[in-house]
Amino acid sequence: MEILFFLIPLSLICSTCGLLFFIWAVNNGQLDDMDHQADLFKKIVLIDGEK
Amino acid sequence: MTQKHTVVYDDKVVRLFLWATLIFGIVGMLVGVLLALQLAWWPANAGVSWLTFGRLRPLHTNAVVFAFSANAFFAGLYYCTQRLLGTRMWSDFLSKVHFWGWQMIIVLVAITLPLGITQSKEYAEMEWWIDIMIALVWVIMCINFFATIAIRKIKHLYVALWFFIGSVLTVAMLHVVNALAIPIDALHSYPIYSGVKDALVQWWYGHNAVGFLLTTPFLGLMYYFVPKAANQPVYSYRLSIIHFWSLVFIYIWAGPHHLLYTALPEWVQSLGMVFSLMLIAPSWGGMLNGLLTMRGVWSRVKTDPILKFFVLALTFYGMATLEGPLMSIKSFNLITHYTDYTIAHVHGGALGWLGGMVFGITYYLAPKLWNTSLYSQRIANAHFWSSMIGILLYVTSMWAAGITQALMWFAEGDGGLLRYPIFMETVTALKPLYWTRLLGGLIYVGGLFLCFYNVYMTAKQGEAQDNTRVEIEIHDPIEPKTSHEALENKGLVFSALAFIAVLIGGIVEFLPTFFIDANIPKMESVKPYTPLELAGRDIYVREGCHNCHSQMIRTYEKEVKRYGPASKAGEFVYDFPFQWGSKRTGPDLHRLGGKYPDLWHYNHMIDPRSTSPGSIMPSYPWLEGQKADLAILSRKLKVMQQLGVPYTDQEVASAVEDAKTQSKQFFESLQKDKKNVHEDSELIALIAYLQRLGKDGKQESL
Repeated sequence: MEILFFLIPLSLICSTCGLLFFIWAVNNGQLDDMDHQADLFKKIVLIDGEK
Repeated sequence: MTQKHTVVYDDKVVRLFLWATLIFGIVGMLVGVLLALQLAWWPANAGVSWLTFGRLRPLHTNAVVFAFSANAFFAGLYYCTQRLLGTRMWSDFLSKVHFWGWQMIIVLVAITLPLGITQSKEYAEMEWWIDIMIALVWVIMCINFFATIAIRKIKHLYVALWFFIGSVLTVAMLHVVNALAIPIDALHSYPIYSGVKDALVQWWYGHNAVGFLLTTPFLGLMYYFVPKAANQPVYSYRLSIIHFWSLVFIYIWAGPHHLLYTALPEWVQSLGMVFSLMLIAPSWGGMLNGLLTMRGVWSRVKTDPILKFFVLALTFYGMATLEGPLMSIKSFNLITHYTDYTIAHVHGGALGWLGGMVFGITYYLAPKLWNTSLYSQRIANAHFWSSMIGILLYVTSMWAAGITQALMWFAEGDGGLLRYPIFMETVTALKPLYWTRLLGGLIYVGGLFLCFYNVYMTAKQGEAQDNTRVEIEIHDPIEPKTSHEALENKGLVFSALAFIAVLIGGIVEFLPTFFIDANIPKMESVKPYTPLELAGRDIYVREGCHNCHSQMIRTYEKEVKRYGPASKAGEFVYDFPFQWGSKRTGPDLHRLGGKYPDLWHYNHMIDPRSTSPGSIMPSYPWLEGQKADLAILSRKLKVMQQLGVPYTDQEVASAVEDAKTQSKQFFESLQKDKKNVHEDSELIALIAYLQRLGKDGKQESL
């Protein structure tokens, strides 16, 4: 059971890191670009010279 | 700015791989049908050693994994890679070497496994010299693949390619680490790991071979072919990013769920279980991404056999990836592990997900590769329905068999005694379900013949396209706006990061197990095998006994009641390779030593039904006539010494004599019972091994 004294702080640290990463991604505009990927896809897969 | 650019794709190699897929698919699944028949009606092995279940079952699994599925992946890999990168493969010669090298390996495997030339590690049974060939051919494929990425005309790497990159790198790592062995002679070897360590490495490999040879490559293909067949973009590109990274990172941790309640350190078991549960999220993300790509075109699913097969595949992918994590929960695992439930699970994945993807891709490719239309939509639809009915019969009967088996094993009657103490009762109860399974398998294989005929007729009416010439428009790369978009343009960095993502899980589980002694506590009472027992053990390995018998009594009260004290990690330190098994068609054998007299074993091996009425085990009369290879024992002990087994030099030198002396004792004991058997026969060596099983550690664990 002593392992909990290690695991609980560890899980808190991990989840805090995840949260900070998410906040960074939103503020940095990583999730803003809605069309770019669809464009890429259309160009590459739907027009690769074949019907 | 867009540039016009002419590319000539090499489609000959795609066509070759497609034929190989269909031909080996039929062969591999027909072997499966024969095995299903043997379980329902044991004389179906015709009394021939190389047709027995233990020898053929590895051939079936390896044929479906490495001949059917891998060839299909390669066909798709060559087709998609050239089109997604806007260039021909870097080297036609290497493509050819890859194709012919791989088929040669398949043929060698198909010869060696029925002959009993095996390392006995599931889906990695191939001996050391075939392992080296596999590694070489794989490296050749990787060189060609990555060189093609390097010379690509289209800078952006599409999501299908990420999955290909992750797959080929990870399979290379898995294969090399799991196959490390020291050769004994030209054909045979001992693995460098033993017991618990061997089990951990093997199931890290076994689980991830399924992951990175049967799942991620086909997810890559799914991201190309499903949107192409539906003629619209994948539902969510961003979901595919999350899908890819979380899947490759989490998958690699889950191997220990094959070893729950065993002697594997408990922390590794829990880790494997937790990561297995987490796998639901990325798997379902991928499934939804595929299914939602059909948005707006569901009406076409009614008529188009390609889309039908893709929907079947994705649906079974969703079911199998929900079922798998549930099976990794320890308490449910008690029921599913070692029983036919596992068989249901893998066939849901193999026949549903893999089969669905392979056949959908086949019907997509065939008209393109022969520049014509598909010969018959009706036959393709008939194939779809035979697959569907075949799978349902197969999977439901094996679910029922698995649950029946487990409930009977664990059932208790008055006073807490086992309700079915005679194992055979739990075998014969499954017979009707085994027949149902055979029927399902036959219907499924029938569909495969329809598919082959359809492709053959398509090829006949069309014209084979060796070099497909197309004009493509290359656009200026779009300025990446996010970090991941930038990453998608960088082949090398992307590959490196993907490789790091798959490395982490293995390292965290391996290093402590290998280097912290407390994980595998030493047991003073456990001694190395005698030379004769070692010879017998190698016969046990050769005959593939582990395909039906486990050597692992789980830490579960009812298991202990049936078989004896639970197995301990320290008992397996001299087991090269480990023989824990993954299926109990017959009972566990770990505490078999000393349970029955030698005569019982003699009778049981000659005719199992004479001692265990109703048994479905093959008879092994030829073991009595064949002489055991004792001359090689000094060499075997020497290799064992190198692997850290404490044999003295004296023991190594006198190995052959010691074996003969011990053999004589068994010979005399059997002669007293009026059984005449040759002194050096394989049967005596095998009995010597069986009589030793689990004896050393039994006292200490009480």
